[in-house]
Amino acid sequence: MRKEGIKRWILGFFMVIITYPIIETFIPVRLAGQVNRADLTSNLLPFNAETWFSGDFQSTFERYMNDNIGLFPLFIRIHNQIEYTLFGNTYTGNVVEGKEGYLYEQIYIDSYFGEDFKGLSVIEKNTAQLKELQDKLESKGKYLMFCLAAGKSTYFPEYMPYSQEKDSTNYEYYSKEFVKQGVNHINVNPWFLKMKDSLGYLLYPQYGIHWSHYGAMLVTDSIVKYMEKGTGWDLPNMAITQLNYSPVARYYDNDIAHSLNLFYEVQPEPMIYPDFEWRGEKGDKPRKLLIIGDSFTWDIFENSRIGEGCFHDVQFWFYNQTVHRDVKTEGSENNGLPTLTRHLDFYKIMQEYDAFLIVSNEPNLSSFGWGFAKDALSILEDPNYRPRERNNEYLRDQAKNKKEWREALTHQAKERDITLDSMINIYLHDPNYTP
Amino acid sequence: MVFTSILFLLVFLPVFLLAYHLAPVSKRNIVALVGSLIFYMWGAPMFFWLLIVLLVGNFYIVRSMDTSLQPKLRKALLVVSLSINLGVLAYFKYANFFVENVNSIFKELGLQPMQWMEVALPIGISFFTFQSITYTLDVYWKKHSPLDRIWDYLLYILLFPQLIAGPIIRFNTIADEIKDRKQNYTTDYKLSGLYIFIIGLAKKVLIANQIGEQVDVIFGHDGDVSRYASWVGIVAYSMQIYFDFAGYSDMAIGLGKMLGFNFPENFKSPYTSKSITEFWRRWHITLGAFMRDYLYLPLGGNRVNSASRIYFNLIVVFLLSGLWHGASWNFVIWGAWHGVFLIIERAFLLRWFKVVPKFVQLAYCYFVVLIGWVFFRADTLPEAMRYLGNMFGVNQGLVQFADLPEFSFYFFLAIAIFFAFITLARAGKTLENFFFNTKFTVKQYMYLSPMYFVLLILSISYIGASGFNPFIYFRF
Repeated sequence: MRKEGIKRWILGFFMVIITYPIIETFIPVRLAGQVNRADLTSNLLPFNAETWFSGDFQSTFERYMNDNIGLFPLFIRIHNQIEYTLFGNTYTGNVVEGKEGYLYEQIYIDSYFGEDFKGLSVIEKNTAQLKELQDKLESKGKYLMFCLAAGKSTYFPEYMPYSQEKDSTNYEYYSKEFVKQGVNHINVNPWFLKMKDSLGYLLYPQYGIHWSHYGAMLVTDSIVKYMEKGTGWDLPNMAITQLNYSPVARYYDNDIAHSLNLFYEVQPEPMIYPDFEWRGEKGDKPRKLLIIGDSFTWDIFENSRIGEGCFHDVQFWFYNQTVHRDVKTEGSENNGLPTLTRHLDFYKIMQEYDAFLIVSNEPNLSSFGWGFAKDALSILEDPNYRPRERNNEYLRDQAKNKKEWREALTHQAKERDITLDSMINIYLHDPNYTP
Repeated sequence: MVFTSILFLLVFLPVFLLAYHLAPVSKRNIVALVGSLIFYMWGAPMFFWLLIVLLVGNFYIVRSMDTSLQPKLRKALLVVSLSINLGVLAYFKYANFFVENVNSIFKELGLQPMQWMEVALPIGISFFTFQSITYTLDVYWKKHSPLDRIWDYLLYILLFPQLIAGPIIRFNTIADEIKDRKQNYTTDYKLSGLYIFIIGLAKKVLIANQIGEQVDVIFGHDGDVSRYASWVGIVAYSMQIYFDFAGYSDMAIGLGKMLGFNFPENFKSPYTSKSITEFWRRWHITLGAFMRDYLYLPLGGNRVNSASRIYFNLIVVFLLSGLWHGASWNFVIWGAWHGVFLIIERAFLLRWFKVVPKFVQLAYCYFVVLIGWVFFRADTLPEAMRYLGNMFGVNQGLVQFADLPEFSFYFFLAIAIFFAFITLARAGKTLENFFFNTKFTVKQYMYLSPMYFVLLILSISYIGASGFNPFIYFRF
C-alpha cells in the first residue's frame, strides 16, 4: 500500500507540473516574473465562424497561450540560459555574439560592411537637402546640426563575430559629404576612437547597443559646445564633478544583456558614471531644442538634463514619429499613448524652436533623417503642407496590440461612442486629433 | 494541435487527463472520444464533419457486411467500404498530383491543361484511412467481430494519441481494449506511459527539432551545397526524421498507456539494421505490418509460384508505401529504391552477407537508407539529383560548410548519433529494455523521476521558447 502511495505521489507530482502553468494564467500570481521584450505579445482574435474555419482563431490562440501561459518567463530563461552558456547562442532579435562575448546587433555589422549602402547620388541629394534646410533656418536665426552617432562595429571591430571585405558605407560617404557641402555636424566615431585607448573608460559597453552613458554625456556636452560655436549663443555647459565606477551597469549600458532573458544578467567590466551639473545661465531668450533621433538619443534626452539645465524646452521626436516631451510627465499625458508628430502643428514648431538636432546611428543613415529635412523644407515653403504619413501599418498594429495604447484608445473610443477601429483611424489620420 | 505545443502539453492534456481519470470507468470511452473530437476539430475544422459522415457511413456498412449471410453481398459491401476509404484517400491526397501529371503530359502534347482547383489535405488522413481499412478487413476476415457501439468505433479511429501520426493500430489488436481495459488502469501503467511520453517528447523537441533547423538551411539551397555540407546534411536528416517520427510514436504509445491502451511499438533502433529487410522490421513497424497483412499477403505474399511474382508483390508494396508517404515522384522513387534492395537481398545479397563482417552489413544498410532519404527530403526530383551529385563529387556545390552549422548543431547531432546506434552495444540494449520494457520498482521510480522531470521541463522550455526572438527596441 505504501509503495502504491509513493507511485501515486510521483504521478500526482507530474500532474501538478503540467497543470500549474494553466492555473497561474488565471490567477494574479507570477512566480517567474516577466520577460524583457520590446515587441508585442499576441492578441486573441474574436471567436466566430470565419476565424474558426479559416484556422486563424486557433493559430492566434495557440500563440497567445504560448506567450501568456503561467511560468512562461521561466521556460524562456531555462532555454536561453542553456543556449547561451553551452553554445553562446542568443535569442534576442538581431543580436549576435562576437569574440570574447561581445554582443552586437546584426544591423550594425551589416552597416559597417556596407551592405545597406544607398549609393553616392542618394547621399549627395540628401546632404544637399539638409544643407538647404540648414541655410534656410540660419536665415531665420535658427540652427540645425547633425550628430553622426558612434557605431559599435566601428569602435570594436576587433570583437566582431566575423570579418569580410568592406564595401562603401553610408557612414563613410555621409561623413565626407557633410564636410564637402558644409553641413553642421559632429562625427563621434573618430573622436571616440581617438580616446579609446587613452581614456581608460569604456565609451561603448560590452553588452550594450549604444554608446555608454558616459559617452552619451560627453556627446551631449560636445553638441552644446559645437552649437555655441556655430551660433554664438552663450549656453550653459556641462561640468563633470565626479566619476564613479559601478560594477553593475546602469541606464542603457547593458540593454542587450538585459534582453537576453537569462537567469543572471551578464555584467560588463565596471563602467564609469559621471556626476555633472550644468553651469551658466540660459540667457534672456528662452531657447528651445528639437531633437529628431533614434534610440541613441534616449540617454541624452532622459539623463543629461539638457532640458532643465541648458535649454528652456527640449522636445524629442523618436524616429520623427512619436513625440516625447518632459521626462517626468512622459507617458502620463495620454495614458501611455504617444502623441504622433502628425498630431502637431509642424509649422508652429518650426517657428518656435531655435535649434534642431538630428541624431542618427550608422544603420539609420539608410533612412536619412526619416524625412525630416524634406518635411521641414516643405512646411517652411507652404504652411499648409502635411507630411506624408509613415509606418501606418506598424502604428495600427501597436494601437491594436500594445496594451497601453489599446487601453487608451478604447477609453477614448468609449468617450466618443465609436468603435475602436474608428478611434484608431482618427488617431492615425485626423490632423486635428486630441486625446 | 500538435503534441509539441504549449497548448497541448499545458492546457489540453492536463484538462483531458483529469476529466478522463475522474470519469467513471464506463464513461471513459465517451470522454476520450470527446477529447479526440476536440483535438481533431481544432486542427481541421473544415474536414471534421466530412470525416464524421464518412466514418458513420463506414460503421454501418461494415455492420451490415458482418450480419449479411450472403457471400456476394458481403463482398459487395466490402468493396463499397474499401472504395469509400481508398476513394477518400485518393481524392484528398492524390488528386492534385494526378492532375499535375496529366497536365504535364497535355503540355508536352500541346493540349489545353485541365482546369482544377487544388484540394486541401485533411490532417491524419493517411493514418485514419488505414485504420478504417483494418477495421473493415478484420471484420470481413472474421478476425474480430465489429464494435457494437458507434462511439466505440469512432474512438478507435479518432483516438487522438495516434490520430495524426500513428502508430497504425490494427483493429483486431485493440478491439478488446476498446471494450474493456480496466486491468490497465494501474498507477504503474500510467507512470510508465508518462515516462515513455516524456522520452518521446525529448526525442522530438531536444534532438529532432534542434537538428532540423540546420537541415532546413542545408536543404534550402536547392541541392547546391558542397560535398561536405551535403553529407552532413543527409546524415543530420536521417537523425532528424528518426527522432521526429520515433519521438512522436513514443508520445502516442505513452499517451495510450496513460489511457489504458497498449499500442504497438513502431521503431526499434532501425539504424542498427544490417539489411534493408531487417530495416523494415525496425522502421515504422506498424506500416510494415499493415502492408504485409493487408496488401502483400492478399497478393499472395511468399506463397506464389515464382520468384518473379514475389518480386512483383514486393515492388507493388513498396511503390505504394512510397506513394502513401506523399503525393510526389520523389516518394515513389524512395519506395522503389527500398523495394529494389529488398529484392536484391532476397535474390542473393543476404546469402552473401553471411560471410561479410557485421560492420560492413551495417554500413551498407545505413548507406542505402541515406541515399533513399535524399529523395524523401528533397522538394523535387532535380533537386534530389543535384544533391546526390554533390554528395559524390559529380557537381561542385557552391554553399560551403563554413557558411552553415553552429556548434550547437554538432552537439545535438552527436547525441542523436549516439542514441541511434547505442543498441549496437550490449549495454545500450540493456538500457533500452530497461527504459521501455521494465516494470519499475518504487526505488527505481524515485531515482528516475528527477531525470524525467528535467527532460520534461527542458522540453517544455524549448517548446515555449521556439519562435521567441523579440527585439530589444521598437524600430520604425
